[in-house]
Amino acid sequence: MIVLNCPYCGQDRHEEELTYGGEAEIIRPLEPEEASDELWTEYLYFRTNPKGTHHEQWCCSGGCGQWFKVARDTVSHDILEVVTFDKRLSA
Amino acid sequence: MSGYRLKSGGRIDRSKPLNFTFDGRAMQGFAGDTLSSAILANGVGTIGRSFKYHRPRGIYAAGIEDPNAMLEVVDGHGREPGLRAGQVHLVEGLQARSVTGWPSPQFDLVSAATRLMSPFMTAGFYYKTLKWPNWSWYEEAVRKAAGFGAPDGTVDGRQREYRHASCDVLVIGAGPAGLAAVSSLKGSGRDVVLVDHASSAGGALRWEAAQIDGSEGMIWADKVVADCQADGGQVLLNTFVTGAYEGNYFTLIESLVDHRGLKAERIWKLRAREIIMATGAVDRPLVYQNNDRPGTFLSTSVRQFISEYGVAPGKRLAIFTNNDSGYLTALQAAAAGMATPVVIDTRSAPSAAHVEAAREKGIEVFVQSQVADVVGGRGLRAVRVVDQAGKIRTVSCDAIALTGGATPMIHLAAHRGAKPIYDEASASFVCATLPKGWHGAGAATGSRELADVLAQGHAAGQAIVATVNSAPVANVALGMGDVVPMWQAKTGSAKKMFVDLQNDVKASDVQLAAQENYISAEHLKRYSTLGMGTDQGRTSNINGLAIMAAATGREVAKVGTTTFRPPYTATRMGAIAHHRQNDGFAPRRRMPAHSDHASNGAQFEDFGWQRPDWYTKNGSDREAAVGIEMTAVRTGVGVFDASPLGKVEVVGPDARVFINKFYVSNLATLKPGRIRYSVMCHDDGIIFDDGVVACVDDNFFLAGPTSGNAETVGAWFERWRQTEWPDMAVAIAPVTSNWAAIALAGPKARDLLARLSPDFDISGEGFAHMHFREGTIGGVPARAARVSFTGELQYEIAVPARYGQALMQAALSEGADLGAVPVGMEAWLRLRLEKGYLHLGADTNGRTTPLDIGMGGVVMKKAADFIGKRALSLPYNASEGREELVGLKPVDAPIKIGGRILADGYAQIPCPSIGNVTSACDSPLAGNIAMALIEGGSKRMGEKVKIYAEGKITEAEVCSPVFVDPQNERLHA
Amino acid sequence: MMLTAVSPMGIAIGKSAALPAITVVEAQERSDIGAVLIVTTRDGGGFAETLSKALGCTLPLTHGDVLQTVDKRAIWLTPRSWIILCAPDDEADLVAAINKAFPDREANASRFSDALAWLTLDGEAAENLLRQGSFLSFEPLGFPIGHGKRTPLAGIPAIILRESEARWTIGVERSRAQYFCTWLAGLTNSFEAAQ
Ligand SMILES: [Zn+2]
Repeated sequence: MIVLNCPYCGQDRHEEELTYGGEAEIIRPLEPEEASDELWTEYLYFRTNPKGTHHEQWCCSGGCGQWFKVARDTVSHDILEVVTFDKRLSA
Repeated sequence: MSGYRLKSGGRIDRSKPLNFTFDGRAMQGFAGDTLSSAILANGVGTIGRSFKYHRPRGIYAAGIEDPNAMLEVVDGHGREPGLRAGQVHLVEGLQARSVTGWPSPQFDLVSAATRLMSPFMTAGFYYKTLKWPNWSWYEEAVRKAAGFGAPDGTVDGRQREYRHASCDVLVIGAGPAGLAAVSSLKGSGRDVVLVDHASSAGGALRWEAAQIDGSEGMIWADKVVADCQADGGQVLLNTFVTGAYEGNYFTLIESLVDHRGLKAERIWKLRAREIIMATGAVDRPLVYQNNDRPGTFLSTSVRQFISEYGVAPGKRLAIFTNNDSGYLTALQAAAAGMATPVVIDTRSAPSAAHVEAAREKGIEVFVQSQVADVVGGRGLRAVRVVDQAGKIRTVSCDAIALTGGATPMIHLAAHRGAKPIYDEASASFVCATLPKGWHGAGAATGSRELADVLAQGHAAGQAIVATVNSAPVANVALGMGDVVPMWQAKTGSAKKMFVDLQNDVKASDVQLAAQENYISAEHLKRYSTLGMGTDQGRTSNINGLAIMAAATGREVAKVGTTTFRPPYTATRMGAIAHHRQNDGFAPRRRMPAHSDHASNGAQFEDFGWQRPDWYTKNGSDREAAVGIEMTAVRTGVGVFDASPLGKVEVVGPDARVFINKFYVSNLATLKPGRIRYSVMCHDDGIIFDDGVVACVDDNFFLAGPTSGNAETVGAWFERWRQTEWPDMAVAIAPVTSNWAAIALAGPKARDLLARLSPDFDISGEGFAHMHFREGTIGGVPARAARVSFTGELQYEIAVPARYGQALMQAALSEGADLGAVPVGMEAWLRLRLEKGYLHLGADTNGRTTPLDIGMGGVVMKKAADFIGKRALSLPYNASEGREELVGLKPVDAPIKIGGRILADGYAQIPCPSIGNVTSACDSPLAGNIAMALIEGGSKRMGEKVKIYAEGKITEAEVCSPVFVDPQNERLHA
Repeated sequence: MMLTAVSPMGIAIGKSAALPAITVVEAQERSDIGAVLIVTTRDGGGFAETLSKALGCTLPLTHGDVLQTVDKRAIWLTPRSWIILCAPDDEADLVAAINKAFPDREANASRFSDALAWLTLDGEAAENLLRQGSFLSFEPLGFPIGHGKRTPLAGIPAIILRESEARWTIGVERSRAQYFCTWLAGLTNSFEAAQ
């Protein structure tokens, strides 16, 4: 059971109050029409799926509705870092 | 076998006798008994039959580790089919029944049949036989033999409660280790929750003779508990920790028992910072011929029966042991006044102190000896003891106590992924490394002596917060000693040596699995069903794994264990379901005019929202009623409750740019007061919603997602705003529930709207198709859209939800002479099919793009980027031959929804398929009509295709999906 | 023609009425509570000052805070949105006042009185009822008197206000009000038994 402290409302939020949003730092190419098929496919479908530290997007959907970023260890489920969406994860 | 109540002793209350029945026989026990101890005290031998072979089985252990004692129990609160007797508190009037023999465990007729089959029911039985085509030969017999009773089909009336909580320290187990930890934390200010599955704290102190800190063990235990409570700690008894999850999150089930039985259960979801795992251990049996006879017990359970419940499990006891703890059982039996027991010890050099203490009481001790077999079928009469030289002696006894060492209860740490490691010293699997924040103590870590257990518990507490509290000091006369493993008796037939009593797995089954190369722990489990019973192999797994090790010439450590999964012990579905039953199962959303629909004869269908599917009319059936509703819309006016339709306000200086990024149609040119229909994609180009967008003013757009996606679309807008375009000046307000909406559809819709007192022009020119108005209707604020899902002249009117009921009533009464009738979902969906409009999720699937539904032109015309646009030009989306949405007309027989389209050139199945029928119905105007997704569909107009559905192949012709009013004359009326 | 109004649980607007199916605590439907939803186009309360002026009520800037005047309460929802509780009759005027203050719609007020059904639970047992359906801490330290929070309750989105030690006001989405009352009613039965 994952519990995250939401960086926007400051409340401990349990898994049932949260929405997982996949890997973080996925960049949508700014000029879609200029992007090659390979680049766009990479953006749409390719993810790192690491064993260990994973950068993720989570939303405080049951609370303040804000998206934020989380570094989570996919083996131990330890939460290493939580930051607001405008920041980069360092863990 | 003949258990009986001892004259004195035990923690039962002899002043409070309780009457109960077992298999209809009237019996008596005392307050403080469990069902196990009470049945045993009444001299009952056989309590059931075994799973596969229907061998007689008796009470085997005092707690949940008992693989045999599964009984149906009726108490003052309800009936349950398969409870573990050691877990049931005895109450007045309780009725218990055996569930595994028919007509009774004593005269079991099933066993005769299964005995015939028994040679086949070896390891891999299910793998080898339960497969097509001959599984049915066995199914009936297996079904009859299997299971532990059946539910009676009534609603479980026991009360349930949920609690969410958190604490600093969760101490699991209130035995000496857990209590030592609690006492070391005394005064630390830590918020402690102490949990134990028993109804009193103390763990093994409840039956072992021990002194701690100078007082009797249980007195010390009570003092620690009282101190903990005085300190603000919470003590949960009768509570199992059933699962451990990441984030040190636990599920607990607390039983609340009153004088009538199990009254209620409380599920705790508890999060803890630190955990003390003091979960103890259970005895491991020894594996020898006929080791499953009634009268066979775990050795520690015998001490528990004697000391905690004042029950002797038999008149004369034999103890079969490979460690010193067996002698403690013998001494307790002798001290309790039972006939002088015998000890059969596998070891060559047992502890001199123990042997001497036993012989002092006249207890005979056989060293370097094993049990070769037993005498007696339903009741034990004697055991045959074989010594090192092979000499066999028959020793009379009516009960035998077994200890092959202890199995630590490491389940919870293992739930968290801690790896069980084989520990040679204790001959058991322990978790060498525990999860973060966990501290192990006591028998759960493989410790055997009380002094070590207390020291570990104290150290665990001190590891969390160092206090000045001193460690408790134990004073025990005789210890448990080391274990010298004996995994399988050297004499006797492996085919009669039971490893797993609940699932009837024998030593020979494990050996057969080895022979057939199912040698990993996980394969062994599935192939032989070892440890797959509801006791989760508590008493059987390690023996089975060790026998596998021997059969494959490996060390036990190399075989390893299977994966431990929650729940730790069987858990009632009702407790988990809580109130999520019947109407409490999931929120059924109600429309504001719900009660009016009900009184109008609505047949509700669950779409998340409760929506009328159709309305009964003078007893008409569904088809007739739907036909009447459709005809009303085509000839007069229909009134449809559209309240669930999504309403999301998108507002702000950047609202137009923002909303234009979501829809495939160009909204840059949408003028105030105008509406456009469009679809929305995910960024992979797949359609995920459709609906209309109204431009209220240049900075205010109102999106109308489908009912099912109303909340999703609001969240979708919000996610992109936050994560991709944080600098856009846009505000998103999801206001779906604030508004009730009705649709008026049909040639007389305008007449009806006029009667509802709109304060704005509703003439054909003043309020044309795809226009939006704000004003008042019936004197209340209203939003009106002229849009059409049916192909008719149609208005959708939204008013604040509080007026929804009145609006529905007004529309039906004002429109009575215009032929206004309420229209349900089914008629509504068929009307749109006549018009060839898309039904999202039916006519689209997880691969459908806007190009596949004929919106290629719309997409081409839009210059600005939108979500999903780039993906539409990826090769697989732009390729030829994709499934496209088309209409179908029947050639020879009505078209069935879900039918598969046969690939070109095929007339029979099996064959490749090129698509499927997505919608189909009978239309009063157009006859049988359908839509389908067919590969290259748009290029197949006029082609005939074959459809396979419900066992038949029929023919249909591909056509335009617009079956009614292709010129849009009705729409623009 | 004039349409008449009814509350989610079928009472007239502007009243409160007991919900007898819910025992253990005193439960009332509160159709005397109206609401306005304010959403702005910037995070962090950039428009809070103008909004406060238009509203006549200061807006809270952190989660949990509820600021109130004689006739209004402002609840923090997200970094850019608030719910204002008011008398149902004041809803239209508040919406108009705010939208007038923002002609370019940098902030937007929407009618919201009908989106939510409000219930008040009064009694010591209320805390335990809430704990059964939510993960929030309901101890006075975790949920101080006067605070308001948004969380799933009984599996549905809810806004919970603590009015006093034992008095709670809860807003749930209108279409789910019937479900929520059924859930509470079932719960109070079991809760009594489990005492
Ligand atoms: Zn939050």
